[in-house]
Amino acid sequence: MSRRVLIVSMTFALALAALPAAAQTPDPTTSPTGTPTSTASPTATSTASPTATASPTATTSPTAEATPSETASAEPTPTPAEEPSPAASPDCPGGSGGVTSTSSTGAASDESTMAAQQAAPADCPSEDGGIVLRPAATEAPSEDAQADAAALPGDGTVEAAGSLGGVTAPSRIDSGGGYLAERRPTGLLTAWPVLVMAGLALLAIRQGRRRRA
Amino acid sequence: MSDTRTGSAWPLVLLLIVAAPLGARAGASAGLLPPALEWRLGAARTSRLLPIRGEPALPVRLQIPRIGVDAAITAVDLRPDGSLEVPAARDAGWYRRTPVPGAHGSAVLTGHVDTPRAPAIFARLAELRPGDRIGVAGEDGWTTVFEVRALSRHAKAALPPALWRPDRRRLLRVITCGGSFDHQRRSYHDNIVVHTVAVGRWQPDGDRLVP
Repeated sequence: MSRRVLIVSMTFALALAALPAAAQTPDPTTSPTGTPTSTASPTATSTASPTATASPTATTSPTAEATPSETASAEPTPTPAEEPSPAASPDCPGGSGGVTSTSSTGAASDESTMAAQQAAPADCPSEDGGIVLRPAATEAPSEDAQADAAALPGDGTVEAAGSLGGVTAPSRIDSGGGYLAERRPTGLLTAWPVLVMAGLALLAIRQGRRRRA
Repeated sequence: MSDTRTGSAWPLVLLLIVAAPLGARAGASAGLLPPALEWRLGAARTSRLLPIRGEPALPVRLQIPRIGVDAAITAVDLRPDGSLEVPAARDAGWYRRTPVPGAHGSAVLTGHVDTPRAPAIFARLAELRPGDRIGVAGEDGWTTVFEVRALSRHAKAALPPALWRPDRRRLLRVITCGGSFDHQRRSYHDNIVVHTVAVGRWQPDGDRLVP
């Protein structure tokens, strides 16, 4: 009996060790995994665009407006590593409202999901149509933080005056083969180690009872 | 008698055999591994980073503790068709026409999210959050530390031109694939972009920072 159990369990353990890391990795085809965070703060929003609410279903809805100074903050940088920051506006550009998406799938909800899970209080549609996820406001933004925000696409990237040449933009960046999209682990696949452990625990209890009897 | 003792110990042994890999896997998924790497950039977070002066050396290694990335960096360029080369599945690629990471401007690193057979270096890139740290080690031993500011997603055909514009600050964009997957073209529809800014540099030497 013990040998049989040992062989079966060893087989399971080996299979478990060989289980590809994909079973634990997030599905990049939708949005970051993890606990959906409910972070949409009514005090940290953009005046120009609606904020993606952080609900598990990831819907978008407008929220209260706030002062511009609260929108473009980033985490305070512990040590300044840069030269004095260039002045920049921290606001989302334009005032058209509505989170636009460049996703070729047209799945706005995907974008919103991502926005929500990034704990971003305000998603700003960039001039290029993409969504820029803003970090949560923690305190009044420093000059560095404002400059950081300015560097994100869509809100007025500060350019040097001619000393830095432009870069040839690639026509496309293909960096995926589809493994994560096609081999999304099912619930049973991810849960089977737990089932195995539960089975072993039951077995141990039964053996103990037998011996006592 | 001894057989009985051995038999009674088997369930415990078996549980340990099964639980050990489970525990390790859970640690990895929680971003705790590799511990050495976590410690290293953790030290950079709590220690005083040094200001970046001058131009950094060519990048050789990328470290993103939050998602367990510690990979070599190779230089990549455009293909004849205008698309960007992407390095081997476990490497990161620095687009050589962009500034060196840590230099003024917007440097770009790219890498696979997966291959047809396995997850790749940036399989968990979308898990990054504002405030997470990214380290880019140069040939000279110095590591430029970047802090994540935001993530964005764009259709591959509509990457923002702003990504490629010059900038007075020291930016780093990390780009991989995302969105839904086109099974016919064997390609993801979108690109995920992680926007970061340099916050300092440091040179690990045991547990001390060497100026």
